[in-house]
Formats: sequence, C-alpha cells, structure tokens
Amino acid sequence: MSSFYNNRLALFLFSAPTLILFTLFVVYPLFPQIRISFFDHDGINYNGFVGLDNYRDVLHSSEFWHSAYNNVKIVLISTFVGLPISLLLALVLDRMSPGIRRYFRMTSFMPAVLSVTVIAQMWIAMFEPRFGALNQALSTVGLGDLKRIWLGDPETALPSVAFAFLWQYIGLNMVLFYTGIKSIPKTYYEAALIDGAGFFQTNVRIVLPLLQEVVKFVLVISVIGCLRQFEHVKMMTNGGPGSASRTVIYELYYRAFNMYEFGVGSVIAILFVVACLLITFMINNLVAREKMEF
Amino acid sequence: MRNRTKWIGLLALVFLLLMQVACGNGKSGGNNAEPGKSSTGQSETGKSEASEEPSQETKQEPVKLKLMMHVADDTRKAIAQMMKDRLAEKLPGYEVEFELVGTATDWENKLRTYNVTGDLPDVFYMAGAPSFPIIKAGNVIDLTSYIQEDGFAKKYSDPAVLAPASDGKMYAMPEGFDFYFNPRLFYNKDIFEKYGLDIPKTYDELLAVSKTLNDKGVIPMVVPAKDFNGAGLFLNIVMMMLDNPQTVLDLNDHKIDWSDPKVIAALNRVKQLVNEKVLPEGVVNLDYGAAANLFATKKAAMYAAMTWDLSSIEKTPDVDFMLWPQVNPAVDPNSVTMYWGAPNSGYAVSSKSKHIAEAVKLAEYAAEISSFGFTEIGKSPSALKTDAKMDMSDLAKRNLEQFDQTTIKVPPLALNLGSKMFSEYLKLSSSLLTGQYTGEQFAKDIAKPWEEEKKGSK
Repeated sequence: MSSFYNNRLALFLFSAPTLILFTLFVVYPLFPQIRISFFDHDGINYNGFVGLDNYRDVLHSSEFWHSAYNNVKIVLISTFVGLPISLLLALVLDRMSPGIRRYFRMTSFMPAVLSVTVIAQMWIAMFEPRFGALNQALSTVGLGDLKRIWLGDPETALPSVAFAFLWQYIGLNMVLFYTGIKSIPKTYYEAALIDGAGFFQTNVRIVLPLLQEVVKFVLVISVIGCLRQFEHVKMMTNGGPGSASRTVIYELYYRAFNMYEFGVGSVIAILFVVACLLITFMINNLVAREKMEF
Repeated sequence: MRNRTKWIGLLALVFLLLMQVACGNGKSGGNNAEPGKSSTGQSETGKSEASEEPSQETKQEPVKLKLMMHVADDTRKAIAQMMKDRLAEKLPGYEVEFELVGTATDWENKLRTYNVTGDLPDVFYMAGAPSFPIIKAGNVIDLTSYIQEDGFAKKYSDPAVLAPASDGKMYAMPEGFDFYFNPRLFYNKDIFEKYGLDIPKTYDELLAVSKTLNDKGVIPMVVPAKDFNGAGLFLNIVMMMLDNPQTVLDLNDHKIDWSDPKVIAALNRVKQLVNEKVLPEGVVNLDYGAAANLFATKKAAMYAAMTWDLSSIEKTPDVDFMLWPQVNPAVDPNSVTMYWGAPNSGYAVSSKSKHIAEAVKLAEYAAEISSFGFTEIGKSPSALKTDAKMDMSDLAKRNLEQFDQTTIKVPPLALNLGSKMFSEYLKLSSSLLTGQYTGEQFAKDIAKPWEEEKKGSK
C-alpha cells in the first residue's frame, strides 16, 4: 500500500483532476489568445491577418510603456515599502500579549477580505481634496502646504491608488509573516537569549534567515498582485486623469473593450504572462537560494 | 498486478468524478428551448416527454425575456419601477428579468462586454458610441418593419425622431424625449442673493463671479466628470457652440479638424474653468452623484448638467437656470443649444433573442413607459405620444420655452463618434479637467483616431 502512495504515478493521478481543470481553464485559453494576437480582431470577427503589426503597435505605444512604468511604481510602493512594514508589524505582533495579538491579527486582516469597491470608496472619500480627511488632517497639523488634489492630479493619482492597495494588503502580509515567525522553534530564541541577543539581533540573525521561504512566497504573491492591479485603478481613477494611472491590465482592458482592438489586447496579455513568469522565475532563483531547514 | 488494478481503478474514479462535474448541469438545457416547444417547464416541474398535453402546458408558459436599462438618475429609477409594476397589465404572459445598470461607465462596460461575449439581453437600452460595434456585429435587429406593421411608428408625433442610422435602418426604439434634453447651467438663487451677485452674462463675468464665490468659500460650479464625462459629453461642445455653433456642425460633418483654432480655443476655455477655479479642485474625479449632491446641499453655486436631471434638481429650493454666459458677442446664447437625441438611441432588440417578436413588443413597452415616465415625473415633453399628463413645473416650462426659442440646435457631437474615437475623446477630455492639459495637446493627441474616424472605421 505504501509503495502505491509513494509512487510518482499515484501522485500524478491524485493531482490529475486539478491539472486537467488547470489546463482546460488556464493554459488552454492562452492558445487562442496567441492566435488572436496575429489578427485584426474586434472581439467578434477576424478582420485579417496582420502578422506582427499588433506586437509593433504595443511595443511602440507610449501608453503601454507608461502603464508598465506605472506597474513598476506600484510594485515599488506596495511591495518594497509595504512588505518591510508588514514584516516589522509581524515582529512587533509576536512580542505582544495574546489578547492584544488576537485583536490586531483579526482587525489587520479585515481590509484584505473587504470588497475592493468598499476600500476604493473609502479612499476616494479620504483623498477628496476639499472635504476629505487627509487634506483636513494635513491642515489641522499645520502641513497645509502638503495638501494635494490626490486623485485628480496626474502626479499623485497613481501613488494614491498604490497607497490604498498597500493599505489593503499590509495586514494580510503581516499575518503571513507572523505565521512564519510562529513556525520557528522556540529553542532558537532561547539560545539567542542565553547568548545575550536583543530584539534587533535576534530578528536579524535568527528570524529573518529562517523566514526566507515565507519572504519569498509573500514577495511573489505581492509582486504578481501589483502587476495585475486593475480594480483599484478602475474604481478610484478610471485610469485617469487622462491615462495617468493606467496599469498594464487597465491598458489591456481599454484597448480590447473600449477600442475593440482585441488583437492588441491579446498581445498585451501575452507580454503580461511572459513578464509574470520571468519575474517569478527571477524571484525564485535570486531570493533565498540557500534552503534552510529547522 | 495488484498495483496496476489500483491505478486503473483510481483513474476510472477520477474520470467518473470529472464526468459527474462536467455533466452536473445537464438538466438546465431546457432554458434554450423555443417558445411553444418549451422544455423549460419540464425541467422546472419535473415533468418529462411523458407529459400527455404538452401543447397546453406550453401555452401557459410565460415568455421569459431580459431587459437591461440604464438608470443613472432618480427619474430613470422611478421609470424602472413603473415598468415592473405595469408589466402584468400591459404585457400579460411576459416574465421579464430587469437588469438595472447605474452609472454611464457601468452601462457602457456592460454593453461592450455583452456584445463581445454574445450575451446581450433580449432588449437593452443603447445610445452613442457603444451602439456602433453592436450594429457592426449584427447583434441587433432592424426595427423598421416591425414598428411600421404594428403601427407603433404612428405614435411618434415627429417623424424626425425616427431618423435611421447611416445605413437607413432603425436599430433602436426612440423614447421620444431625448431630443429635448439639453445642457443647462443651473444655479442656487439664494447663494447669489446672499452675496449680492448678479447672474453672469458673459464668460468674463463668470470668471469674476467665481472668484467672489471662491473667496466666500463656495464652489462656483460643478459638473459630473468621472463616471459621466461632462466635459466630453457636453461642456466642450457648449464652449464651441457659444463661440460659433457652425464649429460644432462642421466638426460633426468632418469638415474641420480638432486642430482648428476655434476648437482649440473652446477646449482651452474648459481648461481655464479649472485653472480659474470656476470648477473645483479635483473635478476630474467628481462623480455624478457627488456633483449633484454638492449643488443640492448648497456647497456649489452652479451646476452644469443635462436637463434629464431637472426633476431632481428642482427639488432643491431656490433653484433656477441661467443662459450659458456669452463667449462671442456675435452669438446670442439664447439662440443656440445642444440637443441630445441621436440615431441608434433607445431600446434595441438582440438578434440572438429567442423571442424576437415578443422582444420587439417589450422594447415598444419600454420606450412607451420611459416616455410616459419622463413626461409625468421628469416634466419633459416627448415626441412619443402617451396618455401622460404634462404637469410641468415653472422651471420645466421655461426650460422648454427657451429650448423652443433657439434657432440653432447643434448635435451631441460626442454621441456621433465611433468607439475608438469616443474612448480617446473622453480620455483626453478628462485630461482637460486637470487644468494641466491644453487644447493644443488635445488636438495633437486626438489626430490619429480622428483620421481613422474620418476614414470611416467606427
């Protein structure tokens, strides 16, 4: 019996239903997309083979590169600012008393389960230039010079959306880090305590190295989440003003569903999938290469 | 050997499970049945082919249709309710699923998506740019013969309302009142009285009055801009019209381009409204509801809106409308206006509907109730005759009188643009409302889609 379950074929059979469904609904739809990318397609009809014209169109489109650049900005803000904050909060949470910890663990997780519509509406109200809480607060504390038309200014629209996105998932990432921290055996902490290590040293020399697999996981889902950002942009700024806060997926949506250029939209989708695969590959190979077991 | 038997058994189990999942919804196939040959009832009642009197059963089966409405304002919401309430009386034997779509953006997105996926409801409201790809895809039927044969066409008092599309076909059942909608500048009389302000007669006076209002902490003017692109849909056109109505007519007929100095000057005036703080900071992100609310709560003195909102607007005490401030002394604002109606606006019938004849009746019903509702509730005249009582308020009467006085009525330019051009036009119009984007940039950025538009690629 045990030889059966250890057998690779048996493992394959157990995973077959998932693999079949994944292939049918995730992998297979990519192939028609590839075909459409070589055609002038309005969503309904094929209007002729255009070769690589759609690819040239996208790669020469300043709007596409602008939206890709916006995605990079969201990654930088939401991941490279947000993740260290989440990690720090997880480390602090670990030191709190059980009651307070339970409270923060629950409340900080709530934004992640709320609808994007709710979050977007809340932040639209917060960012409202005249009556919004943010500008009011800045005025109250004497920082009136920092007041901005947050969502109506091409300079601040995207960072504002990225901030709302960061805020929504900071608690979720914190909980993921915290779960990783709790999986580290207590003996390591006890040994560090005996050696006289403080909070900073314990975390830098013990917790962080042992948390690298969790960091890698959170990094991958955060970066991919930032790259596929659409809902917050759609709800908060509609990609505007103009096209100032468009992301790649918004650009895809705009070209396909507003301009009826499904061939071009397919090209963007293909480039997006390739970019996501490359980034995931890079993170998996460059981050936490040395596997640590405990 | 034992292992092999286990694998085969397990494989068979997996496939059986998959088959079960894949075929689990097989019973619902009856939803696609034709009327009179309904199998829907069989699946719902649990009866099968063994039924002894299938024809009698099918006669009692209601015709199931789906109707998508655009309900952006209170009047439309009330009309939707009216449609539901009167359905059983006016269309017995119909079972209609209503899909009510709120904002203009949502409505457009739904239409575009349904069109591409081939899931358009049996009857749906369409207008403007989203209608072109639907027509091009052959997803709507030509209603001409239907409304001629059943006499519905005779209910329109003005045949101009039944203007066909460029191919001579009529794809939407007009509601009859669109034509009378026009952009107005409403204002709170009490705010003007409180600060001793005169109604601005010229564009320069508007700037001066706005400065005073800003100093008093009142927002001078609001316009919906985010979900309903007020700049693109009427403000740009009004600014052109006030300078020279012929500019709008020529642009509509592709006789001039967006690089025409008069067009650029008009677009720059919209930018100036933002720069001079006539429109509030962040107006580009102002929702329809938020703009209306700022005006109704007296936080804003003026409200640039279409008159389909009139019945809601006049609920606010001390409200009136003013003529658009004069831009060019040679053009009297009392003589020009922009109308709204355009070919392909109204209730359309999906060519994929399984009950075309019934869907046409539903479209006629929807157009008629809309006309009735807008006359009774919205206080708007309509070219589609109903038994509605025209109990117009004083404000509505004056609106209609002023509309009738105008000698030049310019078309709603934006509604006549093709999908690509329309999308780019709205995008760039939203940029104008940042106050950081000029008419010259607009003209440059719109040039490519405009050239494609002129070549006829709607």
